[in-house]
Amino acid sequence: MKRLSAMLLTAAFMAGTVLTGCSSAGNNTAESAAETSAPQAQEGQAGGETSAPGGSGAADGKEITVAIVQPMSHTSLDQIRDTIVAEIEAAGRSDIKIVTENANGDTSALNTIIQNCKADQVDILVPIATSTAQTAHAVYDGEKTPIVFAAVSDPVAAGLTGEGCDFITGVSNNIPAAEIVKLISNFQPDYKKIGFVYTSSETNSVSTINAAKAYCDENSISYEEVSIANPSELQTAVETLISKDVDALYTGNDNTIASAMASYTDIAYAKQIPVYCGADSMVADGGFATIGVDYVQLGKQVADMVLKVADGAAPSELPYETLSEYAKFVNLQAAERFGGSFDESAYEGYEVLVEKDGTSHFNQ
Amino acid sequence: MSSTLKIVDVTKRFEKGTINEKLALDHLNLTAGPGEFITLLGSNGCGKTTLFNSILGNLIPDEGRILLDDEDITFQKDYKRAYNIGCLYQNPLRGTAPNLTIEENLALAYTRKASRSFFAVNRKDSQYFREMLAHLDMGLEDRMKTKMGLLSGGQRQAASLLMATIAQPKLLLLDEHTAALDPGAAEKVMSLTKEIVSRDKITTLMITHDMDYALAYGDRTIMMDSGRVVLDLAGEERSKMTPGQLAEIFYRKTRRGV
Amino acid sequence: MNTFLSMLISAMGQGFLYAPMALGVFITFRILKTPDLTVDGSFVAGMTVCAAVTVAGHPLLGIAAGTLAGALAGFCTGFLQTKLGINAILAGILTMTGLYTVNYAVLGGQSNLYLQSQTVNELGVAVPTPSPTIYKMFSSLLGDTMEAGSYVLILTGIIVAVLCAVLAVFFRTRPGMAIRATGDNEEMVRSSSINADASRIAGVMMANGLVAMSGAFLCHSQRYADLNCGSGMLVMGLASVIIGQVLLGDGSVLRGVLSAAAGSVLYRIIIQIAYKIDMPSYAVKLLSAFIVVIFLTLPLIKAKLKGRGEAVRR
Repeated sequence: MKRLSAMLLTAAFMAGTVLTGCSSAGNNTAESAAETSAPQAQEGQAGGETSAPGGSGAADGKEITVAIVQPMSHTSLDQIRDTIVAEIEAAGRSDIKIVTENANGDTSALNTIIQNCKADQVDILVPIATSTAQTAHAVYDGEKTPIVFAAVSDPVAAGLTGEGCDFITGVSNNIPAAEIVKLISNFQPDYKKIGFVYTSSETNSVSTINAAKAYCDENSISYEEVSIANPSELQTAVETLISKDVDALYTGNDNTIASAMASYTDIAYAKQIPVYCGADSMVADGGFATIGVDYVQLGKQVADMVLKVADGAAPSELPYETLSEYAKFVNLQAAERFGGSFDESAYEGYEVLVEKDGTSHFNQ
Repeated sequence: MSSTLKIVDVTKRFEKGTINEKLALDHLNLTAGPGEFITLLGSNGCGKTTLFNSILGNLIPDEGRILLDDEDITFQKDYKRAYNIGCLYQNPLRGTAPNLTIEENLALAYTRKASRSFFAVNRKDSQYFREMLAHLDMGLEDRMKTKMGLLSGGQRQAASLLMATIAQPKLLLLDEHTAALDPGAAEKVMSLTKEIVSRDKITTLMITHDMDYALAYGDRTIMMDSGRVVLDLAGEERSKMTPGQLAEIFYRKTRRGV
Repeated sequence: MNTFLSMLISAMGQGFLYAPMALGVFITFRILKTPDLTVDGSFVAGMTVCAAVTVAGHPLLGIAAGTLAGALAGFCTGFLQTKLGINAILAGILTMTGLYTVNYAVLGGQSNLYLQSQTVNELGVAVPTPSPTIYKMFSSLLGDTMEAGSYVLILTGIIVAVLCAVLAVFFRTRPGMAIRATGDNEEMVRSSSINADASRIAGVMMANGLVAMSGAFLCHSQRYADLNCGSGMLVMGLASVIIGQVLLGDGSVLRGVLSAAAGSVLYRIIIQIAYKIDMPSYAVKLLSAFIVVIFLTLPLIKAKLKGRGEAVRR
């Protein structure tokens, strides 16, 4: 009896897979594009919708499917995705259909999702973040489908640039270490020691800090560092660094810490230590200043590359890019909080993201 | 195998220094000669189970020594001692693994004396088990591949008895092993016990509350109270004693309802 | 139909990759009957140690080293449980927590390591070259004609089949039987003059070695090691074991072991289907949980349909 039911159920599942396989990519993807880009309201949905009427993409040429895959939901990652969608839509390409996927924090699902994309024969894959890109590389190994990665801070170390990677290119969100130190010395020319805080399991954050540390070593700048494994350790970490007499705190583009900016800045500002960060969203949430990744800029550059590839450029002809512009933002309210007063000249070149009274220009 | 068990001046205290302090064994001295079958009586809390636990290694006594064939096993690890000691409990579930078959249970129990074979369940050993099980006369030899958990209490206890004695232990401890069985099964298990013990001449200690059993089985009866031996019957004095008389002595010498 | 076939191949391939982990969870969860939370940590340990050794140029040794790392982790948990008397769940958590630091250190102070090493090419320049993996070696052995996923499926499938056979035989030997009995009635094992503590430790070591082997396979298949890959592994393993058991039963050890492996494959197929279905991506997790619940209630439904409504407890 058990064996019979086992076989029946397995058969049912096979049938289920066949049916869903046959119903193919068409229907579900347009819907998921609309769902996941809901935050970016009009633009996102327009992105989903323009493909429908332009479904006569058959008329003016082959329809090109672009799949954007992100590992989890997060402000910066969502920003990249929404920008890419908006840019491609703004370019008036009705023959490009965009599909967005999200692994919701489940790394083992990345493989499944990308395998699905491959089975659906997407034309261009856009993986966001390092492990997504690495998984895409493994899944598409030996294939010709172009991959345009977004937000991988060290593509060489991630194995995305060597032999067998002709079909891979993208935009890196690397922040040059020199810029970080310049950022701090711009506001605090007399600083003596920098404190680095980062999450040990986040590749991008770790590589940024490692580069910064190497730079400091080369230039005889003293620093202290603390890494955390999860948000609950942040408070202790920051207090430890403060007790070691750091003059400034720096955190790169770190997803975990970015979600804990409130408590991070509370502790630091109470002791009059400014917090410098690697992303504009972190400044919007309380950090003082950033020379970092503007994910909108990153999204624009990725969209550009995607359009070039869609028009026939081979990824091997497009070396991966780093950001051409860095986001330089300050938060004046934060300055008030840690009691910093700076010369007007220090603010030159920096855009005010948050005013003294707290008005935020983020996402405008 | 006939061995001598010597309990020398064993003392055990529980919860020392607290209001619950209990002197479970009080300088207990007891010697069981080779092949002797001793029945052990006593009210609840007199120390019988503590004595068994000390012999088995579940407890280490505070003072005194336990010697099995002149080997001091007072501090030996429990599973090391089990090489020479077999034990049967009141609860038929305790001595067996419910999800393994009868054959597998026996194979495990036989580990001590089995031949150097790779597989636990092998033809040679299984043949031996079949003979032993047939001896029990309960039809178990035809159900060797049945999971132990499916057997009735009496069948399980009989199988446990076989497991405890199959490796010819030096000492057999029986803790009211028929108390949870129905009269028919109890009778069966007791007669099996008597048969195996006398055939293999195993030195045996049996705890029982049944006055009839205490006198009908074995060749010596000991009564304990408050961690001490208060009565030691053997020989003619014992054969002349009736269960009724024994019960009377019991009430007189022990603290009841503790 | 090609879509369906390639999806099936990749899902089955993934299923076989995670099958050793399901086997390991089977050993602790079903045979030893203690929950072992070390899994999330030992999985990553297998992955990181394998990566470190593979990058040094020894892929086969990498798999072996990864497995060994898991066994060591299992030893720690077993030791904490038996000799130090720490509660089983807590022992697993403690080892898993400690492993985070170890894994991080093995990766050389970073959280992600791609399988490549610096080799000097003809021009005398040091360039990064991908390290050999068992899958690359296997596919070049067979002429490299099919797509990569097929080689993963075939090689891992063969290895898993061999593992199942080895386990089924092992649990009939004396040490294997002792481990089974330790999970069933530890007191009885001691009465049989067997060192129950040693049996338990051996069982936990085997289990975590298998889990780590899965991590090593995954490392070679995806060609990188990442510290984040461990979260949710225990849940996946448990789900695989339970699904397999519901469908195929666990009458004998061989059946139990095969059902755990099959459950792993089936679970990945379910996940693949769940991601395929037309719904917002964040709903996938709820859907997969729902499907697992359906599986778990199947025995109950069957019994009710038969009209007897026996309480079925597993």
